[in-house]
Amino acid sequence: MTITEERLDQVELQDLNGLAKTDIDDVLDYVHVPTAKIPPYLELYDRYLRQRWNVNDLDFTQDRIDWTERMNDDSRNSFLSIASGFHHGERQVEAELAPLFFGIPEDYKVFLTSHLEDEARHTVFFDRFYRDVVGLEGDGIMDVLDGSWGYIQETFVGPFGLLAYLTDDLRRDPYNKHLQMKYATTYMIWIEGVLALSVMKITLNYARDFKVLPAYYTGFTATCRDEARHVQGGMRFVRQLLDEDPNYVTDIHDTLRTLLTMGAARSGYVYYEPLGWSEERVQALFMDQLHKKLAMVGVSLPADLENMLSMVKPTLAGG
Amino acid sequence: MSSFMSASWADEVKDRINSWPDAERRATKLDDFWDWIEMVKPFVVGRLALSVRDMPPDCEADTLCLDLESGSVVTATVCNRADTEAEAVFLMAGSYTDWMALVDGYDVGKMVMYRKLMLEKGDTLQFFTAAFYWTELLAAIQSVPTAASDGKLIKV
Repeated sequence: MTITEERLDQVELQDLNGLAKTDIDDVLDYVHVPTAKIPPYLELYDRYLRQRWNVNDLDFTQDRIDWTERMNDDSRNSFLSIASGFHHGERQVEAELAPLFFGIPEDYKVFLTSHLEDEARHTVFFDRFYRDVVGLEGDGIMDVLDGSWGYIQETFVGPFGLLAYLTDDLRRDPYNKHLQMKYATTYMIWIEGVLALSVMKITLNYARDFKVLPAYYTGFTATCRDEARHVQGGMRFVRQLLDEDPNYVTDIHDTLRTLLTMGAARSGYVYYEPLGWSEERVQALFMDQLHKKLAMVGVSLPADLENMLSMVKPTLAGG
Repeated sequence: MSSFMSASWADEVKDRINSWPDAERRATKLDDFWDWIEMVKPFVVGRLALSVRDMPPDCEADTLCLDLESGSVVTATVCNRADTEAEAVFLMAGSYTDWMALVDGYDVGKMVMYRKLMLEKGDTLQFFTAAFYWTELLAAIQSVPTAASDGKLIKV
């Protein structure tokens, strides 16, 4: 289904109060535009200025009541298994962005400042949620992250460790366009474009359908709208690199080959059922999201990668 | 008890990696996870060097060299980084403080994710194709009882 102009405007223009009533599916549709319609970087920056929200405007009082009185142990555990991936993922994508600044187009640098600020705000959003709703304590951001680490599967380290190490590669050689492409494939296509946008839907649909966690729903829907800008900026950058040299597509494929190899591993089950989902449905979302991102940049998957994609275990969250 | 970065410690590390995981560790994860590691093992070939950037003076060595064949350790030695770097397919390095935290039980996933160990030589994509083999290798090293270079007990 293609999002209508009216619904797109609704997603585009809402403030936090409006986002509380916005359907997450509309926000997810809002991400995907054809290559020719991906907004220029400065237009994305302008959107940021209009869409920026204040994490301190959220009141988690009702969420705390829902968490302790209306959700059961199974729901809380499933929720934390998924949300903790974002708790850690947002920190990772905040901490790993800086080296990209050096070697990118000037307009993208301006937009990337907003991207970085968004990720810091998302990190604080999850910090507030884990403190005010889940009840974790700690002196700083890392204390609370350590508190939710137990919900993270070993396989989480695959894509996020790869991002950390590619960040270090890029720090050492920031103008290397092969490295930039590998980094953008890991960060903007896979982590933000596939993992995050797939798994966001699960906890948000749960909160919407069961009418719980209103501040979480509002803040995370706003987060999702922010991610739409990041993904569009990233896809524009990927497309620019491909326009410079179509051979960079090999870097996309090689990076996906590593990500999909890791994606076939899982160390434990995530029980989606208490939140109204199944593993098969999440896996289908992963496949759909990757195909949509690649369509945005005009890249197809060779047969071996299509086959690997069908074997990905959807146990990871994103950032 | 063997000292960290000593020849006897390297021998114990070799035995531990080659018998990894023990039943207790295996039970903490799905069989799928161990099957995945078996799947990638044939591609784990060559030398992995694990190095300490700021080893205290008067230590025997600053680098553990593991020669791997299909994911098994064929030889394990300690040496100085300069003597092995050229031969290593992958070289990971961290500070002495972070290495002590690892052998004391710090989470191996965080060691990677927070770059407490950094890949200072080798192709990053190729390395991560066997990502969980490497994190389990670190877990195996972590499980070996070790004394710090000054003789202080780190891990029993």
